[in-house]
Formats: sequence, C-alpha cells, structure tokens
Amino acid sequence: MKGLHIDQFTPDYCPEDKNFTLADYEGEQPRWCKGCGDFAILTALEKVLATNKTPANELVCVSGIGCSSRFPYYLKTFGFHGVHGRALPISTGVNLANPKLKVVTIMGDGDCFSIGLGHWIHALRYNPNLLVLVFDNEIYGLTKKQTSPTTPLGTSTRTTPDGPYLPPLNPLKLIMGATGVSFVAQAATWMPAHLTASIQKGFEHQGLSFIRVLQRCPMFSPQAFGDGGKQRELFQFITDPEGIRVDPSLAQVAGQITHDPRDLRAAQELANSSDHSENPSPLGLLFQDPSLASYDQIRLGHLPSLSPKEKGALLMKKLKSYGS
Amino acid sequence: MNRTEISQHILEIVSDAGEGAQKAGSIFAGCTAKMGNYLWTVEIIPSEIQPPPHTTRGSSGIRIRFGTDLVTNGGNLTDLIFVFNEMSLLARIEAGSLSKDVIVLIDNHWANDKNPEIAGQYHQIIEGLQAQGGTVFELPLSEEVERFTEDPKKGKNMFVLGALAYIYQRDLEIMQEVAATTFQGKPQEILDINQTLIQGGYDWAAANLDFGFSLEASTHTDPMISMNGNQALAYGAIAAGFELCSMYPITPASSVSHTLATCFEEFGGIVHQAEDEIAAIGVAVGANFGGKAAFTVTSGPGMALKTEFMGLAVMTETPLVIIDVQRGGPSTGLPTKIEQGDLLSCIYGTPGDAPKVVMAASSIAECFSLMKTARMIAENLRMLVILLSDSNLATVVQLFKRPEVSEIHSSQPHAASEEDLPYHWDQITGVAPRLIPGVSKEVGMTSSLNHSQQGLVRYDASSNEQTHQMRSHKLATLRKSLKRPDVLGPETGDLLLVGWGSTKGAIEEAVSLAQGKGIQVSAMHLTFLNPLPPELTKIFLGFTKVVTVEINFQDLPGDPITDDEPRQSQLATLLRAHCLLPIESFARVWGRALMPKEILGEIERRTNPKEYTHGEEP
Amino acid sequence: MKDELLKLTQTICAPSPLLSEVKAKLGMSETLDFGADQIDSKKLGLSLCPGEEASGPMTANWDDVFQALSGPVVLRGLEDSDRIFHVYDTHMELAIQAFRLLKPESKVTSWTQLNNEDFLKIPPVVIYLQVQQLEPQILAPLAEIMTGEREFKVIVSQANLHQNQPREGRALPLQNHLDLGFFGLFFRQWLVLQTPVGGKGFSILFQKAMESPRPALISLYDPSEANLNQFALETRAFPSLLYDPEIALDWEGSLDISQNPSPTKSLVRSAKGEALTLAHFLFKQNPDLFEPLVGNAVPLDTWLEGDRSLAPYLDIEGEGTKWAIPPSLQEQIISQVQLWGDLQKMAGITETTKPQQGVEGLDEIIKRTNEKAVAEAMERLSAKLLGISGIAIGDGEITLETEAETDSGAASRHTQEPEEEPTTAEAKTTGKGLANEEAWIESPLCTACDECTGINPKIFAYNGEKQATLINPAGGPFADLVKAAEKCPASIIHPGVPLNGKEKNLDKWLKRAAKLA
Repeated sequence: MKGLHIDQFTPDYCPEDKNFTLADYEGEQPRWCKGCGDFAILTALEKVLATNKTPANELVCVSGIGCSSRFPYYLKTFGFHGVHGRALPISTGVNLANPKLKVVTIMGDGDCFSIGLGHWIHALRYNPNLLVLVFDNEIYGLTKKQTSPTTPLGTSTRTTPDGPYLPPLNPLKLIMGATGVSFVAQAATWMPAHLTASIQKGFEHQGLSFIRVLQRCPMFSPQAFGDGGKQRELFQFITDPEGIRVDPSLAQVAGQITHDPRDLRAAQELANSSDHSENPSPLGLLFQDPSLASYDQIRLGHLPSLSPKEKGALLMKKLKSYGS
Repeated sequence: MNRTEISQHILEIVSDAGEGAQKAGSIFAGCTAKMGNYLWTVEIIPSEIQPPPHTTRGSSGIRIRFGTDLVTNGGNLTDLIFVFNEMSLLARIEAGSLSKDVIVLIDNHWANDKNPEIAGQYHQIIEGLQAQGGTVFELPLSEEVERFTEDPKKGKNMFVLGALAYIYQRDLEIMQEVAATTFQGKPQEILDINQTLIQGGYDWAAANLDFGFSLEASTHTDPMISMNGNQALAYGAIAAGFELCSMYPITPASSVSHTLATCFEEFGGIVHQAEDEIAAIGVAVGANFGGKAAFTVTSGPGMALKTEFMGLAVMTETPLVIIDVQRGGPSTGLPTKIEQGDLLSCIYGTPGDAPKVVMAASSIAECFSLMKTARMIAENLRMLVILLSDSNLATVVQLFKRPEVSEIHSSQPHAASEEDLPYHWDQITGVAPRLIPGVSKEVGMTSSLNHSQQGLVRYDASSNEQTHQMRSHKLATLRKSLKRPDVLGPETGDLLLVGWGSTKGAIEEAVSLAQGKGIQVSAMHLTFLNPLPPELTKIFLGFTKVVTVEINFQDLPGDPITDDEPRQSQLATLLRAHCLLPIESFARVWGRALMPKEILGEIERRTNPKEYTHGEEP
Repeated sequence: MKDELLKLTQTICAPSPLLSEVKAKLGMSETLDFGADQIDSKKLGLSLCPGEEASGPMTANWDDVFQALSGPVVLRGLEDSDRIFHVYDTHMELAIQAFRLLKPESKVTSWTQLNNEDFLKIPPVVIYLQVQQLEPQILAPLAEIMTGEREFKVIVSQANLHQNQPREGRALPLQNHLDLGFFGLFFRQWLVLQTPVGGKGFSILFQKAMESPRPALISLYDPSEANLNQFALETRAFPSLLYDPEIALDWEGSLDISQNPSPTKSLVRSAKGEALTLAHFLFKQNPDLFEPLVGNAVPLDTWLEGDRSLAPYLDIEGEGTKWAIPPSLQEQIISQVQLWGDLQKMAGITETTKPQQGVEGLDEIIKRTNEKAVAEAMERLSAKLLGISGIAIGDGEITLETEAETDSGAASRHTQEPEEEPTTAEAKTTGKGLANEEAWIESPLCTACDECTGINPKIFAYNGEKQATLINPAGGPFADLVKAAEKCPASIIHPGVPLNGKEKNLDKWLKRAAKLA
C-alpha cells in the first residue's frame, strides 16, 4: 500500500551540490606496470575533471590500441576503446554528434604517429573540439618492444635489433607545419603539477588541444627521455603569462625560457630545434590560437532546428520538385 | 501513314559530347511523363571528360525506355536510335545496344564528305546495319537546321526532338512547355530559336517520314516523381532522420552525398567528407555512439577498407548503416559498370564471427524506403546494417509513385534512466538498452575487446561464448520477425527464379512473358539476405528446379576444367548452404543489366527438355 | 443523477494514454510502417521487450490489456471483499503488462512499484454504492476495503440523511451522524471527499478526487428533492469537506472546508437571522418526525446560546407552531454543532489547531454509542487502524508522525580524505637543508604509481591530491624506505638516517641508501 512516508517529502539529493572528488572519476583499478607514467596522466586528468566539475556522463574518453589506450577503463566516464590508429575519426564523430560532450582522445606514439598519422594531420586541420593526449614513450609497449616512429637511433628493439635504420620522426616539427593547428603543448609524466596544468589548459581550449606527454616505459624503454627525466638538462620549461604555469616546486627541475605561444614562427623554430638529443626539449605551451573556429562550430553552428513535422513538409516540397 | 501501336519502346539519342543529345532526351522524357507514360532512363556517358568530336569515344547521349505501364527495367535492345553522326552510331553498335531490326535516323552530313575515308566509313556502317536487318533513314539534319540557325551544332538536338515528337505522337504543346522550363533562365532568343527548331523538326518529320508509333497513356492518378537511386537514397536518408553522412568520394556512390550536400543542412544534417574511407566510417561510428544518427556510403573498394571498423561496430554494438553501391570488381574493377559482386563479402567479410544485417534495394522506390527500415533495425537491435544498391539503380532515372512523408522519423531508442550497464543483454533476444553520452544518467565502457556486461575486458571462455551468443541472438530476433517472401506466380512449378537487388524488374518481366507462354515458372525476390527470411526451403521444394539470377560470376557449365566442381554465383552459394539444395544460377559478369529476353531465354532453356547450353554471349 | 454520476466517472477516467502507446509499440498503429511488407512489426515489437519468462510479452493476452486500459472498472456494492480484491488485482496485472512492454528495463512486477505519474495512467477501479440511507452495517465492509492495501475510488451516495429517527427517541448518534466523511478521515492515507451532489463546484471537487493518485472515499448526498442538498450544507447536516493527504501531512493543510457556506461561522443564519440547525434540516426533509410542543420550552436559538434551563423548541421561520425537540435530537444538534466546530479547528479556521480537540469529539461519539453492531465495527476498525503506518491509537489518542526526523539532506556521501598535516609535509619538503637526518619525500612530484604505498602502506600513503606522503617514517624498517626510494620512478623519496639503530643488516641498507643520494 502506498503509504505516506517522510522520505517522500525530503528533497532529492541535489546533483549540483555533489562534491566532485578524484574518487568520483575512478573506474577500474589500473593495471599498468609499476613505474609507468600512465598513472600520473590518469591522476592529472582526474584532477582536471574534478576542478572543472565535469559531469561523468558528459565526458567521453576515446582510445586506440596500446598500453595508453587502456586509459578509458580506469576512468569512470563514458569510454570507447576503439581500433589501432583510428581514435581521432571516432572522436570527431562524437564531437559532431553532440558538441556539448567533452571528448578526450588517448593514443600512444605508434597509434598516432604511425598507423594513425593520416588521421592526425587531417584532424589538426579539421580542428574538432577534442583534448588529444599522445603518450609518447618512444616504443611499442603492449606488443612488447617494436620500433616506433619516435624511437631514437641506437635503441635496440625486436624488429630492429641493431637500432632503427632511420632517424626518428619529430612530432612537434610535423605538427607545427600542419594547417589549422590551434593548440600544441608538451609535458612529461615525471612532472605531475606541470602535466596537470597542461591538461587543464588544453581542457579549456576550444578546438583540438594536442598535448604530447613524454614518458618512458619501465619495461621496454626505461632509458627514454634521459632515463625518465632524470637528466634534467634535456628539458626546459617554456614560460609566458599566457602559457602553462610552472609550479615553483618544479622550478629547480629544469631551465626556463620565455616563448610567446601566439607567435607561430617562434613556435615552429622551437619545434624544429626540439630534438632532445641536441637541444633541450621544450615543455609547456608551444602554440595556441584561440581564434580558430573548431570543426563543430563551423559545421553545426548555423544549422536550423526544425520539428519532425516541419522537416517532413520541407522534404515533400523537395520531392515535389522532382515531379513530372 | 500507319502508326504502329506499341506498349513500350526503347529510344536512344546519341551525339558528340556537347551537342545536347542528353538535353533533348531529358525534355522528351519530361514530356512523356507529363503525358501519362512511365520511364526508365539511362545516360550514355563518354569515357573521357573532353573527348574529341566525331569519334566513338566521344559519343554522349541518352537511352529512354518508355511505356504505358510501369517500367521496371531497361528492357532488351534499342528499337529506335537518332544519331547525329556515324561514329556515334558505331559506338552504339559496338556496345551491343541496338536490336537487329533497329530503326536508325542519322544525319547524312558525312555521306558525301570530302574526306573519302570518312565517307567510306559512313556508308560501311550503314550498310552493315542494313545487312543485319536494320532500317536506316538518312536525313539532311545539318542542312535543315542551318535554315533556322547559323550553328547547326547547337540546334540539331531541338530539331531531333521535334522529329521524335512527331514519330511518337507526342503532344507538341507539352513538349514546348517542358523545353521552355528546361531552358528557363536563358536569354529569350535562345528560348525562341529552340521553339522554332522543335516545330521545324516536327514539321519536317510529318512531311517526310512515313512511319510512326502510338502509345497509350496510363490511367493512374498518383503523383509521380523521377529520380535515380542515389537521389532516392539521399532523400530516404533525410526521411529516415539521419543527421550525418560521412563519406569519401568513390564512383558510383558519391552522388548520394552530392544530393545531400545541396540540401541536408536545411534539415539540420551535414555531409562530412573525410580524409579516407576509414575515417569516413570512423566518424559515422563515433557519431552514432554519441547519439546522432549517422551513415556512410561507399562502393566495393571502400567496403574493403572499412572492414575493420565494421567489425568494431558489431563488437561494440554501435548502430550503423552502410550503403554499398556495388560496381564491377574485384579491386578497382569496372568503376562505372553494373555488378552484384559484394553479397558474400558483405555478409562474411569481417574476421571473426560478426553477424550483421544485409539488405538489398530492388527498385528506386526501395532505395527511399529501406533507409528508414535500415535505421530502425540498426538502432533498435544495435546492429550493423548494410544496404546494397548498384550502379544500375544509382544511375537510372525512373518515374515512380511519389512517397508521402508527413513527419521525419526522429525517435532514438536508448536506455531508461535507471539502466546502469552498457551491455545489459536480454538472454533471449540479445538486445541490450543503449547508454548514450550526455543523455543517459549512468556511464558505461565500450570496447573492441571481448567484454562483460559492464563493458570491461574479459578473456575467459564463458564470457566469449556469451558475447558471441548475444550478437547471434540479435540476428535471430530479426529473423524471427521476417515475413515469408512473396512468390510471383504459383507456389509449385517447374522452375523458380530467385533474385536480389536491381534485377527484380527484368526477372519479373521475363517471368510474366514466360507465364503467358504457358511455362510453369515463378519468381521470388529477396530483400533480406542476412538473415534470410523464413520458409525458403519449403518454397524451393515446390519446384523442380531453383535458379538464381544475378550479375556476378559463376563458372560456366560445360567448361571442361571447372565442370566437375563449378564455382557457384553468390546468392546460389548462400542458398545452397542455407537450404542444402542443389540450386543453380544464371549469372553473368557483362557489366550491364540483364535483359528480360536473356532471362526468358534462360527460362526456356531450363524448362525445355533440350540439353542446356551456355547462355547467350553478349 | 445516478447515471449522470457514472457518466461523469467515465469521462474523467478516459482511456489511458498507455493504450495508444502499447498499440504503437506492438506495431498496431498505422504510422509504424518500417519494413511493413517484409517485417512483422508486431512480432519485432514484442521481441524488443524482454519480459519475464513466465508471463513475457509473447504470451500476454493483449485484448484483455486493451480492455483494462480503455476505461475505469466499476463495481457495485461493498460486499464480498475477496471478489473485489480479485478484480482489482487482475486489472492491475493487465495494466502492468503495458508497463513491462513499454519500459522493460524498469522490470516492474507490481503496481506498487509505480510512481504517481505512472500510476495515474492506469484507469482506476471504482466501487459504487448507492443507498437510500446509510446503515451502520456499511462500516465493516467499508473498513475492510479501505484497509485492504489496494487503492480504490469508493463512491457512496445516499439519498436520505438521518431518516430513521426512532420513535422512542433513543437516537443512535453514530447512525445519525454517520458522516462517512469523518469516518474516512480515520485512515489518513485516503483522500476523503464529502459533498452533496449538484451545486456549484461539485464536478470540480469530484474530478479532483477521481484524478488524485490517492485512493479516495467519496461520500455523496443525493436527495431526490433538489434544494435539500444546499440546505444540508447550510444546516451543517451534511458538511462538505475535502481531505487531501497529498497536499500536506497535517490537518490544517490537508483539510478543506471552504466550500461550506460561512465556513468561519459556527452556525449559518437564515435571511431572518435564525440559526439553522440539524433540526431545521430534519424538519424540511421529514416534518412527520416532529410533534407539537407540549409544555414549556425555550427557542432553539436561546437554547443554543447557553440557556439550558428548559428544553428547546423549534419554530420554523416564525410561522407560529412550536415543535418539540426530543432529548435525543437535542444531543444530536449539540454534537453536530460540536462536530462542525471540530472540523473548523482541524482545518485551522479557528486559532487552536490541536488535533486532540477533534479527536475528543470523536472519542465522545465513540463513548456514547451503545449499539452492538457499531461497537463491533469500531473494534474491528481500531484493530486495523493500529496496523496502519502514521497512526497510533492508544488510550483514545491518535497521533501522527508529523515530527519525523528530517534526514539532514543525504549524509555527505564523500568522506573527506584525511588531511595531511601540511606543516610536516612542508617541513619535510624544505628539509633539504637539514643534514639529511629525517626521511622526506617531494610530494608535488609524485606520479602516483603505487610503488611506495605498495611496499609499506604504514609509511607511505596518498593525500587528497593523490600525492604520496610520509605518514609515519617509523612505520616500518629503514629497509623499506630505501627500497621505496630505489623503486620510485620520480626519485622523490629520501630515506634520511635510520631511526632505529638496532635494525638488522643496517650496513647493507645504508650502503644502498648512499647510492641514492
């Protein structure tokens, strides 16, 4: 019997009052190897989501294939673990379906720079509203140590035991040459505060926010990036009031240079000289152009919204024009 | 003069590119439609973009089949052709398009050309035709046109139109009206001269030709429209409520997106041209996942590239509709030719067990209506639906009954707000409610790996078995709700022809003719190829022989090296496996539609006690 | 009026909106045309609604469901509660089929699981009783219906009020004051409407009662003589009331007597200033009940005002004849006025709002009765009432859980992470200058890889920002500090100097620690 109960008269727990904590975004227990930088990236993203109070059901995390691409399972939001190299088209589709959703695309260096390179260049040009994180550990980890496009010379792998035949591809150089690029940053997993700030900056940007996250695979590329950042002379922070904030606690960790992220030429020069075996690799915001429209804005911004009946009437009008 | 009564005719108007044969043809067709006849029209397209004049390569024109009753296929061979020069005529002879007793009307301009080679060629071609039974009327077309206008190249087509109006007893007023509408926007002198030329042609024919045809109009009152299959797919997509068409250009599929590109945005939809075929299907999958109804359209080579994503769509149970407008294969094959070669690759082409729905449109009207069917199956069952069309339907313009749409389909099934699992499969039907980002309250994980109800990765045997079962159950759920297919004719007999896709019109025309001759033959046409509809075996057992009719390859009977185990055509292979019956087929890869007379020949051969021999060579 | 009442019921409880939804889902609507020539939409529609194996949608008898959804079920009479309950259960079960079909994921198995909005989509089961006059025997079966854990709309329509005035004058107070309305108030969960039919606002009140998600008891006075219904209101013989528990928990909010004439006044006065009472009503309804006055008496008005020296007499509009009012009727007049006063208080019309007042009045009535049948009914009623939540009857007091402890919002669902003492962390971070004596960790640079927390959770733990901190450097052996420092991918752990000199193998560990520097 439906009786009167006092609970019926207490207000529903108001979602606006929900405390957004890290715990709210934690999905499954991550199963990466101990020492893997992916943990840091996961924590950093959780922090950003908590700061922005992003409702979990409005965030879609799309990944390709690789250790990096296990990421969505560990996040308690919508997730799509797709196929190798194709996370960007899927992410673009999600963005076009519902521009209100926040889309995070996770790829590894093989996923993005090898099989997915074509989609990557075009995605930069389309500039959909995505946060793209590439976990670059200069190796294929999940499939157990094959050469990736960013593997440095002299690194022995299972497909090139004597080291790669070709010098590695410089993703920053490539990306700064792409038409329509609107946000490029580089961060590292051993500098969590800076990584978090970078992701936060990318999260706020409307358009494709590309962040290359340097990391090393403890199993298969432990020596990458100067033994995982221990060789601090290999890096320098880019600082600028419009850039990514360098936490004072990190200030001792690497040198700093000033760089204006609005200056495309300067960014290109910085990218070109960013091969870290010769020059310190820049960490921070290389380039941002907030004025570029994102693809969803270009395609969907001006569309009318008619009711199904109105559309039906319009369709009949068009069909009648094919009449005899 | 005796006017021969006809119930249908096939007419070609062919010229050099740029001489306006297609324009004349489209006006003729428009007028014929207004007069209450039905049409099946195909453009004759030169193989180069700017071909040289007076060559076979350069011939451009139109082929119109028109009749009193609904025209459902291209018919047999051309009955009357009006050519502007002998090279165009030769091109059509070489194409094998003309009937033996074709009536030819040709401009005699090159009969006495200064260049003896050209003149010689002219006469040779004509004599050749006459020798095989054709009738040729040489007329001073260029001369006559010069009386009205300075540049005969730009006037011949209207003159020809006028002459045809006389030959086929077309209402001249209507003809002039349609012409005026076609040239609307052009300067008045052009409109006037065209009118004069049409009248001129008509008068000339009346004065000089002693033959003609009369064709009854039909008595229907339904509003009709004429468009080709690709346009119908585009408008059908709009009616079905799709909001995103993601594609990459490929012949013969691109024009679906061309039509949409001009008007989709008025309905709130967009056409997204992706960087390649794979990105095109990727965007469609992502969009459907995100809650927008999206589809992609391609042809054979594109399907090959999309294979991995098709598997992903099936594994993640993301609804998706793919249109495959088939063309000559394999590989790049014959981009502009007709073939039905993708059936088995669509059903079985993805690695692993990936059950998906495969349907085929058999008419242009079905191109329109099946888009909604495909979408509703895809979304209600969370399945991949492939809709097959082909170059035949894609390019033919047919007059058919206008679909009536009061309201665009717009609803989208998704999980109730209390649902919290991304794969909450019903054990019987395999259907799981769908969580949509931003809409559903709860979140869920979607994965290309084998997964649990929560969408988390599972490697164990029982989980793998379960997910396979659920996907298979969904197919079975659809199968159980399919109706028994109709049989055209009695349910028992000597021969049953089974077809799929665009061959329907020709098959049914042939079977009707055969039935008229007293042959015990019936026809059945399948829309659903996977799952197959019920009771097929039962129906097949009612006939002595079952033969499929399709445009793809089979090892020809009587071929010594393959005769002991000939490879069967695609539908035959499918039906044999399904029914365990020795079904055979009439399957040819001629790159063109099958003619009713060819199918009739096959029927007669099969039902005749005489020994069966090869089908007629093209 | 009876048939009109039924018609009104039918109109209010029109076919359920579920009906067209179900038909559409089953593919029976004309607009569901997809694949119509190839796919059996009805079969597919049914397949898409997974139901329980036993009574899944494949086996449901949809014609019965349509019947159930097309309008209210109207039962006559209160007898045989088993039959009535069975009809109710069957009706609800059929309606639930519709919900199972339309929302299979909600897995609804019983109407009790439905919320108000959904419940209202089901046409109600109406019990309709029409009598000349109410008898006390009605109470028992009515109570059984109202406590049967099913939600009916019970309509009781009486044609006469207070008809049976026993000649010997021994009135049966509850019988005569058998205001079913007041009886219905006992139950607290049911909506109660008491009103004469006709008159302005009647159909609005009736519709309100029928359209409420609450079960309803509707007590109607339907006299054959038209103007008696308004008179019943004026004399307070049949006061109108609407009790709607959906609105509020307390009497004041839920009880509405504003439809009565002069609701703030105790008595309605006639045009000539005479106070109208039950006696006036009875006289109008059945003047034969009265006998002319013999002996001395005071006018009824005076008597009402407090002069009880003599018996009152009734003088209708100064017409001249004085009619005797027997003692039993006197009691009834008093109690009717008092009842009206109680109603006023309960509805919050006067200042005092103590429900006990009304209860006392009721109590008195109960105490005054000596009719066996009524007593039995009330005993049974009390017993049933004791089982209803929200009401406790003890020593004649009826209380209500109005002061239920309000849950102070949902308790905070997020436990705070234990705040790390910032001072210690800071001290440790800046403790580089302290000759490496204390173990310390550079928490801001932590990558949350679980290594150190896995080695010894008593020494290392995450703070609210998921950064590792030293919660207790002495929480384990020096060896653990060194091992963690070695494993740390960010190299932020500094073991310092061992705290316990007596630890085993300290040399080995110190040597390893030295390498870390």
